[in-house]
Amino acid sequence: MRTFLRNFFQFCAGGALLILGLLFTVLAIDGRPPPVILNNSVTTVVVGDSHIQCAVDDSALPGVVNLSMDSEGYIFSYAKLRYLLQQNPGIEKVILGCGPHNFSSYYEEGIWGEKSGPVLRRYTELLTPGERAEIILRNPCTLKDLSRGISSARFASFTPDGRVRFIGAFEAMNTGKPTDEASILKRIRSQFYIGEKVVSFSVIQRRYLDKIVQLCREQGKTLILLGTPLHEIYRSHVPPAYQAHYDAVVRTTDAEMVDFHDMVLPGSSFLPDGDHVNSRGAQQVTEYLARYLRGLSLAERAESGCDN
Amino acid sequence: MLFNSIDFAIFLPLVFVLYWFVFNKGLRIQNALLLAASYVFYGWWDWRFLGLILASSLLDYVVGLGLGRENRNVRRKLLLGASICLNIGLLGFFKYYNFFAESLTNAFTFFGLHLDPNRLNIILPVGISFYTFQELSYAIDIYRRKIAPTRDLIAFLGFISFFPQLVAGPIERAANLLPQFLRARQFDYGKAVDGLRQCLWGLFKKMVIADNCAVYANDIFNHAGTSSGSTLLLGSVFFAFQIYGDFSGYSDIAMGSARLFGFNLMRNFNFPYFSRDIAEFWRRWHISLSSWFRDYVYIPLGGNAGTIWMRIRNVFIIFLVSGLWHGANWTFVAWGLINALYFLPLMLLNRNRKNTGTVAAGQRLPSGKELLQMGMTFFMTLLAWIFFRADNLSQAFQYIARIFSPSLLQMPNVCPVEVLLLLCGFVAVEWVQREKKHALHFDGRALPRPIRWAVYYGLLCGIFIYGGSRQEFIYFQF
Repeated sequence: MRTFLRNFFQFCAGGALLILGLLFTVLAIDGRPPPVILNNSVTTVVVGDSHIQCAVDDSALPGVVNLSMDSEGYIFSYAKLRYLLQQNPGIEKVILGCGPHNFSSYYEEGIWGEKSGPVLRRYTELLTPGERAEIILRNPCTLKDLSRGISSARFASFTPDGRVRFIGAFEAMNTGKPTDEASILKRIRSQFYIGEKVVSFSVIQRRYLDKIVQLCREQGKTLILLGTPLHEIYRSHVPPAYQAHYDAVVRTTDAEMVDFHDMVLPGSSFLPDGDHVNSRGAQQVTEYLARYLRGLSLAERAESGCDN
Repeated sequence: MLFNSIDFAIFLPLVFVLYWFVFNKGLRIQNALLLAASYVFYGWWDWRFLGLILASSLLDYVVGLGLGRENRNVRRKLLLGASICLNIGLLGFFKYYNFFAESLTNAFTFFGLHLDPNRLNIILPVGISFYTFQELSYAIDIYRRKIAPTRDLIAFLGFISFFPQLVAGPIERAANLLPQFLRARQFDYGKAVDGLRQCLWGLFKKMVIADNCAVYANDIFNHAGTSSGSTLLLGSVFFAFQIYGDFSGYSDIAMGSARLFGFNLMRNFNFPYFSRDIAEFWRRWHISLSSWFRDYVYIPLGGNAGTIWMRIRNVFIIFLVSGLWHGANWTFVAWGLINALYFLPLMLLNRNRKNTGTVAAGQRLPSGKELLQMGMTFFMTLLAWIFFRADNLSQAFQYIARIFSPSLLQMPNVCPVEVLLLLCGFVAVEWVQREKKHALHFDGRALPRPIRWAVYYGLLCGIFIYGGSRQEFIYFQF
C-alpha cells in the first residue's frame, strides 16, 4: 500500500508538471493561422456574432463579405480583424454587429465560460499569448480548449467546404416557427438576468470594442456599428440600464452607427427568439444597408471632390 | 454521478481511503462501507429510487433464504415465481408500460378502433435493467442449487448495489461476486495498479473516442435527410465507435474501480469489432448480458436441443428479448431481429462456434481472409446499429436506403480529420493488445517505468485536450 500511494503521488506530481508544460506550450506556440486573402473587389467586411451573420446577405451587396460567426465575442472579432486587415489592405470599411446583448456578462459564457469550448477552438490560432493568458487566468479550464484549438489548427483549419474555421458567412436562418412572447421573454432572461437580478455589464466586451475602434482608426478604416433589428416585444423588455449603456457606448464610440433596432419589421421577419431575423428580415436589412452604404459612398465621393 | 465527473473523482478516492485505512478493521464493516457508498452513489442519481432498490433487494434476499430452506418443489417454484414476477414486473412497469400502451393503441387504431389508455409519467430508475437481472440470477441459481443463499444481509445488499457496476453493468452473477463479499480482501499492488490502468483506458474510450464520435454521429443522424450516402455510412461508423467506446469504456472503469477494492468483476467486452462472424461478435459484446440470456432463457427453452424449428424459435426469442431489454422502442426489437437473422445461418450450418480464439493470434497482422471477415462482420453490425440509433423504424429504413444510393460514391459532407486519426490510433492500439485483458494490460513483460508513465501521461493529455463535450453514457438509459 505504501508503494502504491508513493507511486500514485509521484505520478500526480508528474501530472501537475505536465499541465504546466501544456500551459507553457499554449502560451508560447505560434498560432500560424492559414492565409485569408479576400477577393480584390472586397472593400467592406462584416464581422460579429449570429445576429449580424443572419441579417446581412452579402450576395446582394457588391464589395461586401460577411465573415460573422455565431457566439463571436469582441475579443475574437478583434483578433480576426487584426489578422484580416494585415492580409487584406484593400479593406476600407468594417461593419461590426452591436446590440445591447453584446454588453451583457452572459456573453462571457462564450469567451471563458461553459459554452466557450467550441468557440475558443475556432480562434485560438488568432489569439496572442497575452489574450490566451487572459482567458486562462479568468478560467483555467479553458486551457483544455485552447490546447485543442492549437492541436486542431495543425490538423484541420479547414472545414470540409473549404472555409477557414474562424471565417464565417451569411447564414439564412429559418425555423418555420413564428415569434412568440414566451420565447422572446426566455431569451431576454437568459441574456440579461440571473434570477430576478440584472446581470452586470461585460468589461471585456467593452474593452475589445474599444480595441476594434482603435485598430480601425490606426489603420484608416471606417468602422460602422450595425444594430440589427429587434422585435418590439424584445426591445421593450431590454432592461433600461442596458439600453442606456448601449446608447452611451454608441454615443461615445468613435464610429458610425447604423441602428436598425427600431426598424419596423413584421413579426414574420424574426426568429422565435425575437433578436435574430430570418431570411425575410435579412432581405429587408440588406436592402436598407445597401442604401446606407450607397449614401455613405456618395458622401465620401463628395468629400473627396470626385464629383467635381 | 458520472464516472467522468469531478464528483466521482472525489468520491472514488474518498471511499478508497476509508475502505483501506479507516474501515479495514473487519470484513463486515468494510462491506457496510461499500454498501453505504453504493447507496450514496445511487442516490446521487435520484434518491427517490433508493427505496425501490432496497425493497427489491430485500425481497430477493428473503426469497433466497426461503429457497435455501424449502425442499418441496411446489413451494420452491412459488418462491422463484415471486422473485421473477417482482423483478420482471418492476422492469415491465417502469420501462415498458407506456411502450405497450402506445403500441396497443396504435394496433387498435390500425383496425379502426379507438383506445384511450392512460399514459403515465414514469421516470425510469437508473440501472433497473441491470440490478433486476442480477437479483433474478441469484434467485434462479439458488433454485437450481448452483449456489447456497447467503444469510449475510449486508454482503447481499452490497452485491446487488455494488457501485462500480450498479448503473450500467457488467451484470454480475452471484457465484462470481457474492463470494468476494464474503471473504476478506487484501490490498494487492498489482491488481490496484492494473485497475487504475483499466480505468484510464476506460476514460479514454469514453471521453475521447465515444464523446467525440457522438458529436458527429448525432449531427449526421439529425441531418440524415440531406446527407450523402458516404456521410451516412461515416455517421454509422461514428455511432458504432460511440456506443463501443461508451459502453466498454464504462465497463473498463467499473472493472478497474472494483479492482481497487480487491474485487474482480466479469469481463464484459473482448474487442468485439475484431470478430470474424456475428456469433463471435456476440461472444465478445456485452458478454454479461448475452451469457445471462443464454443461461436463464436460451438453455431453459431447450437451447440447441430439440428440433430445428425449436432452435430457430429459441434464437429469435433470445435476440428479440435482448433487443427489447435495451429499450422500449420497436427499433430495438428490429435490431434484435436483424441480429437473429444474421446469427441463424451460422447456427443452422453449425458454424457458430468456428471462431472461438483470438483473430490472428500471435501474428502481427491479420490475413487477407481474416481482414475480409472482420470487415464484413463490422459492416453487418453497422447496419444493425442504425436501427439501434434511429428514433423510429421509418428513419432507420430511410437512413439505410440513402446509404445505398449513388451518393455513396461522393465525398462525405463531414470529414473530421482529427477524430478519424484518433479512431485509427485507437483501433491500432486495441489490435496490438487484442490478446490481453484490456488495452493497457501489461502482463509480466512490463515496459520500463518511464515508457509506461509516458503512455499514461499521453493518454491523460489526450483526455484533457480531446475529451469531448460531455455526453451521458448511452447504457444509462437502459
